Amino acid sequence: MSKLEKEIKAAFEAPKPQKKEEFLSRFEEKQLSLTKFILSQAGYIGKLTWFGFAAILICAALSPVTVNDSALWFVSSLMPILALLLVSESARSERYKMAELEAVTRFSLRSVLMARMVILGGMGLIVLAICAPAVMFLCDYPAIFSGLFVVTPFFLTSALGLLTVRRIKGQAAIYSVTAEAFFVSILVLLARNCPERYMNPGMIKVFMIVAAGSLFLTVFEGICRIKGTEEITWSW
Amino acid sequence: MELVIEGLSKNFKDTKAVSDISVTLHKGVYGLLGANGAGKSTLMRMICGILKPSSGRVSFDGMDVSEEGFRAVLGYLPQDFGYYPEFKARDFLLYMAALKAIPKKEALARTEELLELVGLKEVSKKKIKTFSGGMKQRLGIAQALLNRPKLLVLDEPTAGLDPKERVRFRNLIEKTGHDCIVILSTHIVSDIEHISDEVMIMREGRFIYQGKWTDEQTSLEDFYLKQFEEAEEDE
Repeated sequence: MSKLEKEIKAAFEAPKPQKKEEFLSRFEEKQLSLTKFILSQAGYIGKLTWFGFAAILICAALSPVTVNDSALWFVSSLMPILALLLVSESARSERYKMAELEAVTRFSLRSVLMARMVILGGMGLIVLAICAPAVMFLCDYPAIFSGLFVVTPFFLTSALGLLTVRRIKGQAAIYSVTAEAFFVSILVLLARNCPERYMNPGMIKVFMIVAAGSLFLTVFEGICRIKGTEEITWSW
Repeated sequence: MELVIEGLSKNFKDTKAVSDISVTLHKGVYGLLGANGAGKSTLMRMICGILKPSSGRVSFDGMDVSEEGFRAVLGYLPQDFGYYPEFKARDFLLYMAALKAIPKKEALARTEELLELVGLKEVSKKKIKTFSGGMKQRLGIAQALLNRPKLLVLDEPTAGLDPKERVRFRNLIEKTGHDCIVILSTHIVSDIEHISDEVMIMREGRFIYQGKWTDEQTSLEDFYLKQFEEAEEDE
């Protein structure tokens, strides 16, 4: 701005706008599309969650080299941590007291939750889709055993975690889900000590029942959680 | 512009938090007064659609509280709200703008405008966790105004504000009230004494008074206490 322009601006100060809000409200404002909204949500997922995903993927990819014959157990033990990341991210709004603010917006808390579940669920499936076939190919056990041994801890932790965050609110829920995830993870690692006990044809039915039951409970709890956003409960 | 509340009630197990409230509000600032536990926040939450009423209905210009259109015209500041730990003031407003379906370009412009309005422009790139209570509250007010609301619901908005900030806040609400319906709940009488067109006084989930108080030849504080005494005498 030149000196003259500055002087003119100072001499003829523009009047403050009158009825600006009323004038602007006459125009139909453009809206953010649903696709753009979902994409925008990816940017608001915690850095720690993305870092966790990357770390699990790298560890799983390196496992055939680093832990060699224990790759199956190692990858399986990482799955509860993957589920922990997904569940804790889905409970982020309540954890940081943002749920009430998000609930009254145009897209509402339900859309926020669904957008996060779509993004993270997709990421989780990608990790599973890479890890499960990799260990199936690398280990000596039958493919169905290996596959079930990888997905069961994931769905079991997801189901328990979603059940927990629906009943317990705030930071306490995250601590509980963390404890559950580590408990499942440790169980998987302990199972390595006696593989013949778990990797026998008699156990395949048990794994299938646990995996199917956990998957069903995960879907059920996910639906309940989305429905639950219609009304935010709090202690009065 | 009309907010209609019809027979609104909310029960929590054996407790009647709000009992059969009916009122129609038009453009202006409405002060909702009541002691702690009177049912103000429950009523506000039902008006915003966060809580489902046990009975009754809330609508704005014919739109039900559950409709997206209702949320599109609503601005809400809860009594207690948080933020994601990594958020800076500007990020917080941009995030809320995305949720309010405001396109990025408009959101950026509106964010700058509101940060200026609430006096947070200088600290817009600082993390919210470094803010004082008053600064957080001002940021909360800014997010409520992002979508140019026609219905602005403020639950105890002056909590944590120092006297200077309170005056600034009152001026802001007074100005906003010319273009929309503002419902401001508080238990501090002086917060609404000079800015509200009407007062609604709540006690044990019911309105014990609703209307203009300026017609009365007394201060709002005395008038408020008188209503409570009369309500107690009636029981």
